[in-house]
Amino acid sequence: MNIGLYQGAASLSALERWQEVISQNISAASVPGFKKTEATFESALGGAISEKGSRAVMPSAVMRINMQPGELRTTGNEFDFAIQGGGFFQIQRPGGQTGYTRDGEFHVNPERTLVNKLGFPVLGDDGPITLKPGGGRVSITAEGDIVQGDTVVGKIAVSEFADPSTLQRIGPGLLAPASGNVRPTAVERPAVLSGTLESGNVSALQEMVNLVELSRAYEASQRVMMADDESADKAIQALGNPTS
Amino acid sequence: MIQSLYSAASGMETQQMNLNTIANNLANANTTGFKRSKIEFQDLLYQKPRVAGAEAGGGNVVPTGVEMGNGSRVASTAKVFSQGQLKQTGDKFDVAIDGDGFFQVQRPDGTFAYTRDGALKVSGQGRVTTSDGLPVLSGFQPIAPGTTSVSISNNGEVSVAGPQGSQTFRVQLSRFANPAGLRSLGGNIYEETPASGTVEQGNPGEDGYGTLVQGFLESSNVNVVEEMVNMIQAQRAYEINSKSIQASDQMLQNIAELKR
Repeated sequence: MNIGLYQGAASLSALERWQEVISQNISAASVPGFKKTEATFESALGGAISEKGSRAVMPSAVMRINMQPGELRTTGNEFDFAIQGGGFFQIQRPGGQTGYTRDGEFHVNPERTLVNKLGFPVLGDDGPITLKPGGGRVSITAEGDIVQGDTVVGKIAVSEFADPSTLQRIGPGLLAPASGNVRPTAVERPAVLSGTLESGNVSALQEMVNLVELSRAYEASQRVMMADDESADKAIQALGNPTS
Repeated sequence: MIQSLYSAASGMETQQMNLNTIANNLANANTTGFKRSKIEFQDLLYQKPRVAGAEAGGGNVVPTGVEMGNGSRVASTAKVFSQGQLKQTGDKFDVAIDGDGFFQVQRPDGTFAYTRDGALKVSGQGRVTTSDGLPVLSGFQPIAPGTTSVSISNNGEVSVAGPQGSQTFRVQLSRFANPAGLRSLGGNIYEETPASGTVEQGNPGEDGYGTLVQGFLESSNVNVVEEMVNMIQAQRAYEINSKSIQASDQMLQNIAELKR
């Protein structure tokens, strides 16, 4: 009888997930290379409505990462890099595994090795990239060679995935394939720009529209639950009082 | 639900920090040798109630899971050590550094600090100091009272002449592998940290060290237009995060209305 109540509750909870996604997207909109999450809904089977076998469905939220490139913005900073087109920078995590990121806001550590914001080495074709003392400013060629002054100190590694939207977030700014069977392919001529950062791909307008849509849907589900509650109330009042 | 409140709040907090950084950069737009800070953002850890790649039965795997973020944070406010413009002052004790390098100064507690502010002064005892009176080391010798001419060459040769005769000495510059890792102490001076690497000393103009330019000062490297654009963005981002909080609040109110 009160399956509608549960459907309404499932809808509220799915919409809350969506709101969490929107909050996260807006909050991280300023993170370079951030890829927004999109919420979609799938139907989960609920209990039987009638004896004829029709069953109720409940909404449930699923999420995927939107891999659209963000806008490139010039910063002029020496260690800011951005990939034009597809692919990811490779970051060596402390456990030895590789993480993938589009956030090219790098630094050098005291050993003059190129590292990301967390201090993990950025991988080149031959392992981490180390600069020379007093070697001058760093730039990058169209082939991805890192040039310091006029010497090539390494080639930045950029790799691609067949379906990047299946990557999982494994920590701040880092992605990795969900299973070990998924292997990336190296990009031969990565178009990496220096002095440039890729902005997050969050569109403020889109998120605001989503927020409006979600708020209204939430309100509607809430009304459905209240109506359900009201009819139950009426039934109880009318049937539970036979003398009247 | 409550999590969306916190992630939006963390977004507002990072934008507040962003504005603090912008304000400090703008406030120091005219500070000699000031290096602007660059704020860096990062997303926080994710919660995964349903993991992508998990077994879905019959050898199938879940293609996309459920990941809920916890918002964003400020990963660092790194100093950008790009060259500031050199501005002619004509003062013989104004020495700008063109390229990599710092002057080494001694703090009152005896520890060393480093500066790019070359507005040098000479104390009553002839010691070369910063504007704040901290002694500048870097190979500077005391300048005798009554000195009439001081000439500093690009590669650090200093010739001093006066009634008590003349003397020459050479000054050196200090540099770090990762100057962005230095700790700012205020008053235009920086301190070595494990992140900056240990100090390296060398002659100006050699081995990638910068050169000295007498009679000039280095302006700050703050780009006012860029800071203004960043300020507009920070304000809008702050506003949008607040809308997200309002929406969450409205939803919580809807829940409260469920119970009559």
